[in-house]
Amino acid sequence: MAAATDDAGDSNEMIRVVSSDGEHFEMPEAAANLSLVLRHMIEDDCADAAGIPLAVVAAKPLAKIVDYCTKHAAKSSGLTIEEAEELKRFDAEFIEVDTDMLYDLLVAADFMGVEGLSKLAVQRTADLIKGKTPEQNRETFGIVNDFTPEEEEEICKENEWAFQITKPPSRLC
Amino acid sequence: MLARLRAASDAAHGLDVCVRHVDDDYVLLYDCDCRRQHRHGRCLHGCSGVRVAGGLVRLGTGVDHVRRALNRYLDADKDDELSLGDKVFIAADVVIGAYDVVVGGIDVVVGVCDLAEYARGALARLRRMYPGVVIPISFRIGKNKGDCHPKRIQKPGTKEVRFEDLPEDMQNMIFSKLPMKETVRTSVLSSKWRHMWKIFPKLRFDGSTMRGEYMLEKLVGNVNAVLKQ
Repeated sequence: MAAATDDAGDSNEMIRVVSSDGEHFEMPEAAANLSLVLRHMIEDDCADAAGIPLAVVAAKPLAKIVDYCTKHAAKSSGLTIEEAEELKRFDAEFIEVDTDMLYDLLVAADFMGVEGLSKLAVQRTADLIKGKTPEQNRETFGIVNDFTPEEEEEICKENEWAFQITKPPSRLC
Repeated sequence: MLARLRAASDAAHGLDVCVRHVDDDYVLLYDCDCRRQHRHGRCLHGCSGVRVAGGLVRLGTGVDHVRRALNRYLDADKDDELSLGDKVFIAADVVIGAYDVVVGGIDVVVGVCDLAEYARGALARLRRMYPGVVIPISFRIGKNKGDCHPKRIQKPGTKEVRFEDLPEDMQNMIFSKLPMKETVRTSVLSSKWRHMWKIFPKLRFDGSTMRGEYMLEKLVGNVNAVLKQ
């Protein structure tokens, strides 16, 4: 029965996945196919009613990823301009998350091989870093400054040019 | 990272790279003299590519590498395009790299591995492809974490956000989205971040590295400063 739908591009089969903390999620096969790992498991007939266990992805990020894949799978080909815009808006809203979730998404997207989401999360991380002072970055990412003032100065000197700003002159480092 | 991968690939192809198993970790040796008994640890020189690869993957090549290896595998149109060594290596990658691993004897012990089923499929496919060839991988799913000395590359879902613990590939992707200047600036965040940017393989000296007076002199100086490190 399952074999009959194999060739149909728009199979309606639902794929079940299980998070590391034992929560079950369901998504259309087309959505699951956006994850390289899931796609290969489906191809290898490893997807069954019990669900594919994802031992390193917790329920919270997995719920987000299922959302992401479902949305993107539904609008994968032949996008109109409006639809593309809508998807862009969805992405922008989707990735407005705190750094904890962002980290989880980075790791999970990488693990599951969801390329679009990886790119989105990476871009968001870069955007968070961009244009900030070291102090601001430490705050955003919860980084403890373990340098002595002398060490800090030494590092700044090593790469003086990177820490110089031409205008306006304010303390960056 | 890249050096590690190259060595992994060399080892898988039977080139002169040796892996030594020391205190639950794997060390790479390029000039291994196997006639000399290694004092510490077990020398894996001369073992099948699979076992060596197992040790290497354990060095932390990570899921991303597995995925790419798989892509290479799947993208190859003809079987001949990939050597058997490559295929075995990839299979080992699939089996091992996806999660924690310990290589012992001929067995590969996979941790609480959610890719175990998948790996089984990949391995079965490989064995079907080469019915006469013995591919010495067998694996079981460890019930306890202690079964496989789990050493996670990353630990999602922890309270503390640790961007410095992201896989190198991912860090590189993030740095690639930043201007060189901003990338270098992350070195001052903390001791963990200090050298992180240096693994980024692409040095990009653009306008931001040479703005202002004496542009050329400055650019040369800046390039030198970076290359010195």
